[in-house]
Amino acid sequence: MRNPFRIRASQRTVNDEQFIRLFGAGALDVIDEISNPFGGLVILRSAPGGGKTSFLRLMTPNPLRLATKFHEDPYSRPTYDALRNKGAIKEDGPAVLGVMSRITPEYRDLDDFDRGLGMFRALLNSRIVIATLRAILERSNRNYPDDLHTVEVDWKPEVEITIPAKATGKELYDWAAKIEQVFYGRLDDLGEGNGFEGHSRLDALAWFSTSNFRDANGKVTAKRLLMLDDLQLLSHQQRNSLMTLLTNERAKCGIWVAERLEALNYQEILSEGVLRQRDYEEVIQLENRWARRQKAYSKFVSQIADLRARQADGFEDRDFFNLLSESDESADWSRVYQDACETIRERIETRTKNNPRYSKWINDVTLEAGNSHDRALQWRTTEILIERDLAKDQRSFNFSVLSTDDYSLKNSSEIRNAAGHFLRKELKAPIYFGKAQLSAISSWNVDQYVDVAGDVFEEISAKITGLRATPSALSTERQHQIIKIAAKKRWNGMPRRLPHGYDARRFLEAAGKYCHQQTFRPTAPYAPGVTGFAITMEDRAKLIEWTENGHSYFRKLRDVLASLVANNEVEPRLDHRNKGKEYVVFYLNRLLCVHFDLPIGYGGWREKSLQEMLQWLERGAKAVEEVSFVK
Amino acid sequence: MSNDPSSLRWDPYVLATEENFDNFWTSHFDRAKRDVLFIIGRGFDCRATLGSERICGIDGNGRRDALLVNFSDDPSSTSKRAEMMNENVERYKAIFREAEFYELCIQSMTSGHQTGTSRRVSNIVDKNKDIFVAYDDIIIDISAMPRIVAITLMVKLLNFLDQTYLTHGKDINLHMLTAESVLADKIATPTSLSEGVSKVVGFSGELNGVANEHIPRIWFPVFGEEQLEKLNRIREEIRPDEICPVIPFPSKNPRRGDEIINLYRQTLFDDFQIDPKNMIYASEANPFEAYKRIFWAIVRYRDSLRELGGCKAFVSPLSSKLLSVGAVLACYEHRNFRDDLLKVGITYVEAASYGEPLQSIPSQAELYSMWIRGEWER
Repeated sequence: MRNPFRIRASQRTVNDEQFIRLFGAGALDVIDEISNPFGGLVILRSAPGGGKTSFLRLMTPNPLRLATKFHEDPYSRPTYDALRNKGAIKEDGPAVLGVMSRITPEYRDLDDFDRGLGMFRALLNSRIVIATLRAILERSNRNYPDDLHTVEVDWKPEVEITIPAKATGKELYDWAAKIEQVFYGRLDDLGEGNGFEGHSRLDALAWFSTSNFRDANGKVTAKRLLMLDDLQLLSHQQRNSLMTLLTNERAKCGIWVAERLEALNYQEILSEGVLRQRDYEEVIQLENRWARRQKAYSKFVSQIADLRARQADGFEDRDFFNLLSESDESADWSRVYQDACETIRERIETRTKNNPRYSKWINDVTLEAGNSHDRALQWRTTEILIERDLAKDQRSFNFSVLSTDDYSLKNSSEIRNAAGHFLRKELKAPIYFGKAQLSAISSWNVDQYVDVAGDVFEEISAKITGLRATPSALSTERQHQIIKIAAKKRWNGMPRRLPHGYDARRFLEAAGKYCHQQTFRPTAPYAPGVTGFAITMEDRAKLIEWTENGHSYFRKLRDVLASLVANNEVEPRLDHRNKGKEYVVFYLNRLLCVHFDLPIGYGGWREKSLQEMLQWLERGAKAVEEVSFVK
Repeated sequence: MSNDPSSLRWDPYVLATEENFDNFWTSHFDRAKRDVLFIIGRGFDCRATLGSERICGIDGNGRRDALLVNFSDDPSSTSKRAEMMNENVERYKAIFREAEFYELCIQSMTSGHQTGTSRRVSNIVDKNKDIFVAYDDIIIDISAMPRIVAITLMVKLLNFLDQTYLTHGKDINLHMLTAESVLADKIATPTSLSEGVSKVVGFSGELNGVANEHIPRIWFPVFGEEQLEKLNRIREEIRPDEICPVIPFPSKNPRRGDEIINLYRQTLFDDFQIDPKNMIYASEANPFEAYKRIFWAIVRYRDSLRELGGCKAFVSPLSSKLLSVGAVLACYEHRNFRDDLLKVGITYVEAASYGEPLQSIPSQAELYSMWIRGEWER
């Protein structure tokens, strides 16, 4: 395999063995907070690429069996341990009968003619039955569909029979296949008028949780787990009906449902409850959960990168992260930083007109020891502090000399971070590089991580696989360039990926420009930088309420915001401020921060009114006033 | 229509190429008074109005009306593109100035995972059947239509007109019209694609069927230039067991077939690992040849795989519109046989947006007219 980062582990083209070898065991940490993961309803939500499908696939019989089989392999061992720890496998194999049924795009096509949802229920019934039969055969190491006769199922339907009460696997298969056949007949109808009323009940849940299953080895006693993937592909009516049933049914088995955030409507996405992340325990919003467990996330994605790199041809037992430079202390950059010290010093002297108030500070920095980078950073920090003092000074006319203690008092890690970012930006030095940044720019999304890490790996791999290749770490400059290109690619692809894609990009163009403008003010007032915009909770409520009451001009803003949140282009978080106001802050995806040359730390944001945001939406970057803050 | 594949519906066929285009339509109009409905697309393609202008310029008795298929505004639309679209519409209005000019709107989805264009077109045809039965001839000019719209219109109308003939005896002629130019096709390549893979209404091929998931899948991508992303995406969706690329050869540019193979050599041989023996060559200028070749290839696979339960055959028309028509006819004919051992699907990736149009004078465009159904069959 040339670049294993290009594989999406959830894809069906990846076989189960490869899937287990690529699985990052850290993913299982997200169910730690669920008290009974195999005994109730668990809803997994994320933007595309959050890792939902991989999570579900792991619980199906073959991957569980392979995880047991590979338990002595040091790279697969963490997956085995995590699964044992969660009770999904026992010493001798799977402890769970995991059945996965995918929602396919055809369900939504039913909406045109299946008003009463009868056919929807029939199709779902049949597909859950077939998925269960497959899982039972897989678990007993038998072939599907040849060995269906080895399976027997009986259950006690309540009133009307949809799924046969007692049948062999083959009989059940024929029953389900007939439904699917009728469904496709109706779907492929060009006007011939095939008719089928469907089922009045979605009995497959009760059937799955209460049936007696017998396979070639006897009674199946494993805990049962039904997993429904890709619910966002359902129509709103279908999804609402299914979710209501799943919530009310309280089936005596585990039910895991995975869906993209886009399945929610704008009210749900922007609702106060969701924003406060206090909805029921069983909902796992993957990005949110990882954001609260940053160290665990970083460990998890690094694990994925290592596992993938090892699968590459010629990479052998090398460590991926050892091949990423973590600093840029080369001779070339040393000279650049040395020159920068002089440039900044001259700039300060011109700006302060040799005002004695700053003489002590300037003298201290001049005498500073250390390497050229550290000294340049000190100069840039001092320049920001002077700018801040000058901004105050113009009002106070204070001519007293500032002491070293004053400097220490005013200095902070945020200002140093801002100074470091300004410095690198001004010198065109690499900003985005190294293991920690690679994790941070993924905005808690696994696919986003693997995409960018894959681009980096492509270059590393080319360097180490040639006949005369001498493995050396990828320079910080090259890492920075690759990450910038990845950010640009994502930016360009936005109209295609997102509903309201063009509007969304226009809006973000303004948001990015605004954040850039605020970040790079000479006084760095929001150090280390502004990477988000906020509205008050009242404005959030108004946005929902007004649009419901027919204010069409706010409807587009609402839809675009919902689309951006659903696709992880912005991360909503609650924040508090003075005067008792509460805000919802929309932080830009960290790869968007890369695109706009912003720092990737969180914390800096500015309040915006709905009217200003409407302007962003309508006019894009042009709506952000051109202001030069450099005197 | 017979269940015996030895007699194909479109063999023989009626195809009027640029050289005999005027003669064909002159003699067609000479034979009888004909009320003709042109179905045209509101597109920016510079070839949009060539066909209707030529046919309307030929004398003949009867009405010459138009039905303009309009697409909801594309947010990515550039001013140049909007200008070219409006110019085309103005030209249409001039051509049909004394005629009935219907307009129907199809809401196009240009982003996210929306792939329902085919179904929306299908619904529109169903709702406007009364319009179609009022004519003797229907001409679908696909020159300025998105491929998925053109294909859906063709299969829906073909089916509807067949049913109308069977139930009411009225034999309405259906013609497909296209102004073909390989160069113009290259220039009109989309800048971005929709996320999902679309299936044409009537041709799901039971792609996501769970009960018959184990049935082998054969994929027939009809190759054209600049289709790499679409090819990869469709392949990922279908996960075919066997791939039979359809290469346009012979072609006006004698090297075109070789150039296409060369262009996709890595995809074809390294990624898709196709057996060169699987390649199907079909004339670039004759859709009915592609139709026959694809039809028989599908028959052979179905027969060979009988013991495994038959096969699912998927056709992806990624080449010129002319070849697309041939490929779709092969699927249509198989569909009508309703063979339990064969499921036929048409898979495609829709364009999400186009860049600034570069097309100018359609000097190299050649008109082709295909008489798909009607009097000639009796």
